[in-house]
Amino acid sequence: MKRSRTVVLSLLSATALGLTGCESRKELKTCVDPDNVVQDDDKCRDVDRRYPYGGSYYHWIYGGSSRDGTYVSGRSRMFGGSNAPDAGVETATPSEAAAHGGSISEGHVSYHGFGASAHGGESGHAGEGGHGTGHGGAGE
Amino acid sequence: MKRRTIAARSNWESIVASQGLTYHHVAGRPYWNETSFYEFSAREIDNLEEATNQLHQMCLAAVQRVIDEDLFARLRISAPAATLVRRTWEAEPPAIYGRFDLAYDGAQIKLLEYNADTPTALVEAAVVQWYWMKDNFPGCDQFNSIHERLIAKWKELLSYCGTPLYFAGVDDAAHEDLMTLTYLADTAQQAGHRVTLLDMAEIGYDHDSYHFVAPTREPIRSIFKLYPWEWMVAEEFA
Repeated sequence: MKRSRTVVLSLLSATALGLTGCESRKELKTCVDPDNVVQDDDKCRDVDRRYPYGGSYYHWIYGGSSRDGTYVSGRSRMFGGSNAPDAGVETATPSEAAAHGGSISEGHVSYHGFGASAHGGESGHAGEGGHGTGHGGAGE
Repeated sequence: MKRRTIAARSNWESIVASQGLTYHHVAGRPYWNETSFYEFSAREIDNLEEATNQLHQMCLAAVQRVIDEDLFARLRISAPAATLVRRTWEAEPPAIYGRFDLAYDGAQIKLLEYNADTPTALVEAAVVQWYWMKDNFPGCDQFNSIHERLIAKWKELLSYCGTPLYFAGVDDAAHEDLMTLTYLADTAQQAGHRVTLLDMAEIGYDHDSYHFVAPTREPIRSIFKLYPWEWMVAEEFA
């Protein structure tokens, strides 16, 4: 008897096509130091204000991944990506992308109490998978 | 168990990406490699399944010992978190899935890791390899029924879970966690749940009602999170 009969997907397919198709998207940007170690976004925002033409110590990396499993002083190191965003693509930091317009605190409801560890905190990867490259992943 | 070589499908990158494996390359190198595959006998699969079930029971027994002998400090689990562990252990909320990493030489089976908190590799195991098999060997069987079992489990939980059923995690450039969450949400939706995906940062806390809330301020009754407990217990909302 067959164990697996059918795999029909709708939500996953639609999301995958949305990510790989030509629809508008935001490219994630991450603030790093010259060693590509992830830093607080404010450091790069300060640089943007003072050195609008770039070339400074802290800078943004567009795209890339923090999944190479390398950590420096508790912070993850970015891998890949580029120093300039893709043409015509909006950019956002992970926290900006996550916010979707939500505010930090609205009345008696607070947001952003979870998620900081994944955005330039102690690590950069939640799921542990088969890459063999992720935080605590199969390659450990 | 036999390792076979085979030609990759000519447009494999676009195929697997459309099936959710948007992270088919990591750091410029292929992560998904379909130039070889493993062929198992039914008996080998039965042995692997039996060993996996035994290992799961042994892991539960290990947790029981940690609780009984109060070994939390040795595992660097804080006292407040230990209280939650004990409470959860007694309440026995449903478990959805975990991932065993096994070493196997065709005879001996060795446990490398059990990830029961934030396991990924789900899209690969449940979806992408199934479609690969259908393209290459339409008459064969992939010897796992993750997809069907997930839907069956979510059906069991229709009356247990609140509505909507939330799925939360963090996204990054590779979208691995997002696709894993989306796949899980897909199976829940097929089981009849109304599902909503959230970023972890979108989870709110209502200081008046003492509820975690969605961006709509609706109380979150049931949620699946792809986010490590060791992060959660160290963050502001902890």
